[in-house]
Amino acid sequence: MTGAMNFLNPTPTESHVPLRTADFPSLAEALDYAAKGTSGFNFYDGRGKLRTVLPYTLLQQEARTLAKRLLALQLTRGSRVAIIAETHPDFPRFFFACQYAGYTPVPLPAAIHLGGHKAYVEQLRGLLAKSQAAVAVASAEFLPYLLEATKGLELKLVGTPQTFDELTEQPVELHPLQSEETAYLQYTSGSTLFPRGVMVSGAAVMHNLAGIIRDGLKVHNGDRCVSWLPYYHDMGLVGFVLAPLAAQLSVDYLATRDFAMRPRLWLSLMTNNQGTISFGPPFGYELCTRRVRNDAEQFDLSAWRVAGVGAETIRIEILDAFAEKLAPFGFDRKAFLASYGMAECSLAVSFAPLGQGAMVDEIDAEHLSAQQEARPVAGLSAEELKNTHTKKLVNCGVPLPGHEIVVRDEHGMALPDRKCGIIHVRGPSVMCGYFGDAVATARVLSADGWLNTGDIGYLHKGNLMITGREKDMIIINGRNFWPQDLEFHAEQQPEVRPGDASAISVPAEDGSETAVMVVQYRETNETKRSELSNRLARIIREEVGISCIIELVSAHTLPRTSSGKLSRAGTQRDYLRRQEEQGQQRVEPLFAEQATGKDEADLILAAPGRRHAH
Amino acid sequence: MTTSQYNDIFQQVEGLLLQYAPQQVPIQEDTDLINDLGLDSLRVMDMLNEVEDVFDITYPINDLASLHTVKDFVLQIQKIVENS
Repeated sequence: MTGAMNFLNPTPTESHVPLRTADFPSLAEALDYAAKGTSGFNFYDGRGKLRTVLPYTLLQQEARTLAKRLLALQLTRGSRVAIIAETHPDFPRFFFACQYAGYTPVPLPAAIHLGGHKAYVEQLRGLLAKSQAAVAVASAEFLPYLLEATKGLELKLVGTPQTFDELTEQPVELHPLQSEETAYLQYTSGSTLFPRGVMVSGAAVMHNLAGIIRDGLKVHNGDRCVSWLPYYHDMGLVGFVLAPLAAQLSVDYLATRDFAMRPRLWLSLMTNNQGTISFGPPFGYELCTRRVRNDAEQFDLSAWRVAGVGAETIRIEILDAFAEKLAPFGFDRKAFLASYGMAECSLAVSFAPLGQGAMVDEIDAEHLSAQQEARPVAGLSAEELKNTHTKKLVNCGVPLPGHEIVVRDEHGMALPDRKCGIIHVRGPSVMCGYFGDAVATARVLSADGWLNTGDIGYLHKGNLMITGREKDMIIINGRNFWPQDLEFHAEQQPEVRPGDASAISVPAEDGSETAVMVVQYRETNETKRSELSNRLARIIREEVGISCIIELVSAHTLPRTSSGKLSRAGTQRDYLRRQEEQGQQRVEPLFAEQATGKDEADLILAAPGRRHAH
Repeated sequence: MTTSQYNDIFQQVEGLLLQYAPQQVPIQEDTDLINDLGLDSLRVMDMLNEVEDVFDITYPINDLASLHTVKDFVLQIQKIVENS
């Protein structure tokens, strides 16, 4: 990176150009305008020290130069440029070089797990093949993985940023990506087996950015963003690279790894530069709450006006605990902003009203489970309340202007207020489809533009509440996992045949989620049984990076649908029942089982990947 | 690379890992961080935080990929300490 300076001062909060709220036809033009000002990106290291400053002015120059170098490769317009998306100035430089050169950037994960060499290489390989990447770039640290992953694939160039900087700059005029072209490919969910690249057009993302900036966050002069979200995640990319840039705001970045190691750095950064806007999944807030020691800290969070929450089920208790712990440091719980969205809709679908904190709808949990209806507990008599199990659901607000939300039953019929069903979204921010996957696209996107989100929820007076999600997705610490991926690893074991493993998620005692895999195994020898279950747990930790409870059951235990497919909802129900029979505490199923009768496999395949904000 | 340095690091790592180990799991050279200690990704980050603070190093995240046993870990740390 040539942008390093001797005297490091972060870019100022004030951009010194009139605020424009993403009213640009394309991302390249958004950067051209931001480059007229003084704001930009700032990169902090794991000790909270400012490492690199990248004002938009410099980003524009460097991205344009790099674009002319990329043109030396003579790739066809729209070719995919895969970028291992570390939190580093090279990422925005390559991303915007693609915008100027007319190529499609594809951010790839830069997350490595303990002992996860093989798994990571396989994941990269799948993504590179599926996106038909023409070239791929990674830092020197990540290059060995990239080289391994591209072995045998036909790419025109694979290298470090320096490799690309050595290309000859072409003396040509740049023709940036236009609004109808694909601005980037966003691979959703952690699925290594079924990666799906969301194609977002320039028009769609600009529309979403305008909605986020103008309506969701009501950005104004004096705002400053702080983010530790990964660039390969839509909330990190669209929410905290593209949105600030399209509103000429400065951003202070902390690498995700450094946040995970030292969560308090997030709060220090908010304090030092008086950040006003930051988002995180609930577990990010939880990590902070756990680590902050009130007597030993000096934070000033009084400027933090938007504390966005998304990416996994929002439990109000986590937000309450954070607010309580950080109140002495000026944190205002009214800053909490619940939102709902997904990569398939660029990023955001809906925001709760700003400045009111997280609002909850208190409903009767049993009624929801039995009737798929959210009956408010307000209005119940004291006697009735005593016998009612109350569930608090966070209000995710109303859709962005120009967007519609409809909740439908399994036959596609729109449902009335407070009736639970599948959430459908339509509007200008919705993707064009999944790259190279017409079948998957057709499953979620109707001819008249409705996106089936696969999430389960209900509307009340236009406000959206999420009660569950696409039935099978497992979300742990903000990361999404497809049950198929977990099951695949089990089925690689000689003892486990295809269809013998079913992965689900169950509520843990503290209300978070735990992954469970129920595996059919005939062996009665205890040594062999415990050997298999230990091995499976280890493989899941190695390959997927999460703890997973392994339950071995006898043959023919796993419930199936009428067509013989695994019923994960049934597996979950049975698992919870077995736990209960063993005298465990009663836990509520995560979602009310919908009597769809639809082939479960269809639901799995029809469900889009990454979910946000519940 | 000296043996005494290796042993020093091993002892410190041992002390540190004991907090993460299930009861009765001894920390030995061939103890597998995943299989024996059951570390998931968040606990790994907690643990790395302590390692970085104790040894005053920056642990390259990529080293995680080839990390399996306590011995791997001690050797990695030793290498980082020597190069810093």
